[in-house]
Amino acid sequence: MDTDLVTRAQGGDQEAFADLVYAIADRFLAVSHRILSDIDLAEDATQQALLSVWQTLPQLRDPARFEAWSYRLLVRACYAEGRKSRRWAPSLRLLSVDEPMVVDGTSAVVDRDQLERAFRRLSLNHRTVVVLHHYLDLPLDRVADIVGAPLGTVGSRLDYATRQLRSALIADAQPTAREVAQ
Amino acid sequence: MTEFQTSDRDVNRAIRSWLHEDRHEDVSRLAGAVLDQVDTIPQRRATWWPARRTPTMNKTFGLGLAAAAVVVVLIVGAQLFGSAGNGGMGSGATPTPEPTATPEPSPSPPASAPPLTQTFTSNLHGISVSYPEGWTAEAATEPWTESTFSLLFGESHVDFLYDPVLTDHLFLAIASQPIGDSTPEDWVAEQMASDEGCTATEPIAVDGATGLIGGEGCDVAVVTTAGRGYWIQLHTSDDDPVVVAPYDRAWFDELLATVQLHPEDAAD
Repeated sequence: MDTDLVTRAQGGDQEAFADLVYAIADRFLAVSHRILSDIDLAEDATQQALLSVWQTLPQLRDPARFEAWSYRLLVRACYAEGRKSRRWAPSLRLLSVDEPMVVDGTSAVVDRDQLERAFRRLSLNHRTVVVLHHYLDLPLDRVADIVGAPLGTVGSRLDYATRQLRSALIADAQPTAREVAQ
Repeated sequence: MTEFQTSDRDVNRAIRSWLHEDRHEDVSRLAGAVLDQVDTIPQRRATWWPARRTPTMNKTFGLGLAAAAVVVVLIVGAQLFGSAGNGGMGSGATPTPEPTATPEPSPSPPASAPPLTQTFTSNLHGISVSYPEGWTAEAATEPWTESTFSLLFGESHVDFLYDPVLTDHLFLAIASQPIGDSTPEDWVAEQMASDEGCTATEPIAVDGATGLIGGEGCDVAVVTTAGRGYWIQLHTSDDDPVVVAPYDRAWFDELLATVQLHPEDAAD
C-alpha cells in the first residue's frame, strides 16, 4: 500500500481516502464474504470497516502497517455482523443419501458443496483464520497479529478447522448408503 | 467414487481452490456509499492518552508545582503590564490575537501506567478486579463454552477492560468456566498448552486460587477454585512497544493482586 496515500488520508484528504477505498474494497468484500458466507452481511461488514478506517486513520501510528491494521478493523466488523445476525449460524444440513452425488474422478462439485457446508459449521474464529491464511496467503504470525490472538491459538484454530474440513471431504469420498446397497 | 487423499497438502489445496472461486462480488456501489458518508463523519484524532490523576502528591512535587505557578503569574503579569505600556490595556486598541499553531497531540509515552482506581465486577464470570482510571469496561454477554480459550478483541464471551484510545492494542481479557470433570491441574495445563506463547510457566496464586502464569512475553494467568477455571490476560500490542511499556509484568502482578474471585456468583 502506498504510504503516502495513507498519510494523506490520515490528514483528512478525502481524495486520497477515495483512492484507498478503491484499492482495498474489492479485497475487503472478498474476505468478508468468505468469512461470513453471506454477501449481504459481507457488504455491511465491508462498509462498516471502511468507515472505521476513515474514522480511525489518524490513530494509526505507522502508515506502513496500514494493511494489517485495516484487516484488523475488517475482522472486527465481520464479528460484529456475525453477532448481529444469526444467518451465519451453523448449517446442519447434511448430504442426503437421496441427493445426486458425483462419482467421477474429479468430484469437484461435491467437494465444493461439502466444503461449503463444513465451513459454515465452523465458528467465526476458525473461518477467519482459514480465510486469512488460505485466501490471503498470510503467514500465521501475520494472521495472529490481525486477529489479536497468540500464534499458538491461531495455529490451533487452523488445525481444528483443517481437520473439520478434511472430515467433510473424507465423508464426501465415502460411498453413500445407496451406493453400498447397490 | 472419489479417491480423495487425506494429506494436509490435498486438503489445503482443496480449501484454497474453493476459496479462490469467483463469487461475483460487486464493490462499486458499496464503495460509493462509503464515500458518500465520509463528508458527514469526522475523523477521530489521536489523543494518545486519557487524563490521569497522580496517585499521591509528595512534598517535592507540591513545591515544584507552586514554583511553576509563581513563574506563570510573573510571566502573565509582565505581559499584561507590558501591553498596557504599549497602549494595550485601557488604550482602546483592539487586541489582535497572534496566530497560534494548533497543538499537536503529545507523542510522549506515559512514564507509568495509570493507577488502578476503578473496580469491575463480572457477574457472568464471577470475578472482580481493579483497572485503570479512564479505561472502558465491556462485560461479556455470553458464557465461555469452548474447551480452550480463544481471544479476539470484542468476543462476546470475554470481559474486556481496555484503553479507549489503544483499544485492541492494550486490554485485559477475563473469562471463566466450570472445569467439569477435569482436575484443576489438568484444566490449567490444557489452557496453557493451547497457547504456544506460554510454554514457560510458573505457579501463581490469585486470591487464593492456584494455577499458572506465563513467562516472559505471556501475560496470562490461569487459575482454578471451587470447580471453576479463570483466564486473566493482559494484551499489549507489538505495534506500540513504547506506549505499552509501562504495562509490564510488575503492573500485571499489581492488577492480579486486586482480583477477587467469587465462583459461586458466576452465571453459566
